[in-house]
Amino acid sequence: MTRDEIKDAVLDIIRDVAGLDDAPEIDGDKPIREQLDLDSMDFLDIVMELRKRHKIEVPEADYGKLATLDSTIDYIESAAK
Amino acid sequence: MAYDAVIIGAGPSGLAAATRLAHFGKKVCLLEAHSKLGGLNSWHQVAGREISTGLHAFTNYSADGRGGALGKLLRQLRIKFRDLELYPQNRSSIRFPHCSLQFDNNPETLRLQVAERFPSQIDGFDRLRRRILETDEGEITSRRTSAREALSANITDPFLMDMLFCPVMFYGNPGGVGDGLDSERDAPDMDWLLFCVVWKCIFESGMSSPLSGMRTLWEALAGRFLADGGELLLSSRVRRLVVEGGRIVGVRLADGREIVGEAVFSSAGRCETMELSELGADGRAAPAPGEISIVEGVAVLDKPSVSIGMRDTAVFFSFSDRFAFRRPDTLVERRSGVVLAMDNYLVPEPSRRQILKMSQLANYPLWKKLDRASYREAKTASALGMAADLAALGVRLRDGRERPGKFGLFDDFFTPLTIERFTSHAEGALYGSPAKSRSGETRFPNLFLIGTDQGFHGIVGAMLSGVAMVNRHLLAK
Repeated sequence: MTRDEIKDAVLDIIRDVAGLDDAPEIDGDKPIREQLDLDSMDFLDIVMELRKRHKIEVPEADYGKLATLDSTIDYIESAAK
Repeated sequence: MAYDAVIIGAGPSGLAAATRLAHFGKKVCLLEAHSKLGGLNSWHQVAGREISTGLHAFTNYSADGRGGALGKLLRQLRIKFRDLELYPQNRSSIRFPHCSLQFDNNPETLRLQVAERFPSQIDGFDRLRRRILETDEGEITSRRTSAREALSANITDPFLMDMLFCPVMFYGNPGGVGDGLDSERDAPDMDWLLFCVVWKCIFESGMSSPLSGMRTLWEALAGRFLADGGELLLSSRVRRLVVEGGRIVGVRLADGREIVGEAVFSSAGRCETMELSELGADGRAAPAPGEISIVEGVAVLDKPSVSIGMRDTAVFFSFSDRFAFRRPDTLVERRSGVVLAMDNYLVPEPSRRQILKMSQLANYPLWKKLDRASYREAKTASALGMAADLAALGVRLRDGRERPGKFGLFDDFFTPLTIERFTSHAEGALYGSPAKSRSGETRFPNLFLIGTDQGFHGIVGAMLSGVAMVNRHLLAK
């Protein structure tokens, strides 16, 4: 996947987990949770949707790397390599 | 074939648990003893109209469904708030002999009423509210503290205290046996943290009703569950949990079929579930079933509720200055109750919902003792009593109907036995056992409780229980 494709895939997941109609407009370098008022249960859902939709396993030790949209894209990009 | 999870009961908690597991690719079998979904919160036909049974309202309402427990639940189940078609209540009241208090979905309404009727209590009321709002329901453990004690520190007028207790208890007090709280029979008490949860549900956020009843939500969830590969077996009562080497290996149904599963989530209730295991009741002292049950009358009206004197969405009443919330010594407790008008929500076409319901506390053992003929007679007699109590509240049921009902002026009448049959909760305990299991764990490592004996009450509470338990015990693994 290209970076843009990864970004779209992540935004689709965030949209569904947050119960929004459209992909959210969020700052790439600020924490996702704070911008969308999500809690830890929602964060775990993002991890589980990544596994379900894209077969990407995120071990618990790496959860911190998914804090912002940019860092999530970086993480997935390097995991795919 | 072995399922990842077998779920007992397709009520709110079981449907939520099943939907969430199937969404994440688990193989799930959802078992329901009855032919319809919903458990206590199901539906049936009365006088040609489809009537929702069970809890009349969806609590934790907010205008956009984003915050709080409801928002969390909707996100976890990927339900859109607008698909619930929730409409807020009009207004409700607490009516005692010498005083009434009104409340609605704006907490300021109740506050102003308290300030006006109980001016000496308003500072204490504000302190109490602050304390409730600061309480985190996540702190809930099995340790119980007294709500009456917490209220006494702020509210010194015993009448106001009983008035505030009335709706909170009707909306979620499983009763006192086994908790050592209500030593004085007529001074009822409940767990303080549970009190805070129910208070927030009904006074801080508020009540609403889905436009076409709960059925829409249950069918939507079941549809998603099936589309995700789930298996739903209706009319399939679980007879036994099959135990091998200290683990549950599956369940045996009443018709002899066996369903094999890695884990079992049961909404049947704490002691009821343990009784299903081949070892019989839990080896430790089995918790007694809850004692709180009700009778409920349902009347389909030919005119709006407001035209027969019922202006509120819900009326919580006590004919006695002191409110007693316990199993009565008679078939029905005539001194208090709840009246609900399904058309008094801010819904389009309220005329399609001209249904009045009334509930009063009831004594399960006394109902259970009756033979067939006396049971039927007792239902009619209790329905007549209800109509008289309604008249005392200024609600003229007779004027709202052009024909008599099957039970006095009511078209249908439920007893604790009806509740027992549809929820499987022993003795028709409306809010389950007072002894909750907050972790959901049992003596079997792969058997977990969901629903009213694990989590919180109400539809939102039960569904969150199903979600939280599968997250913790299966999805997180």
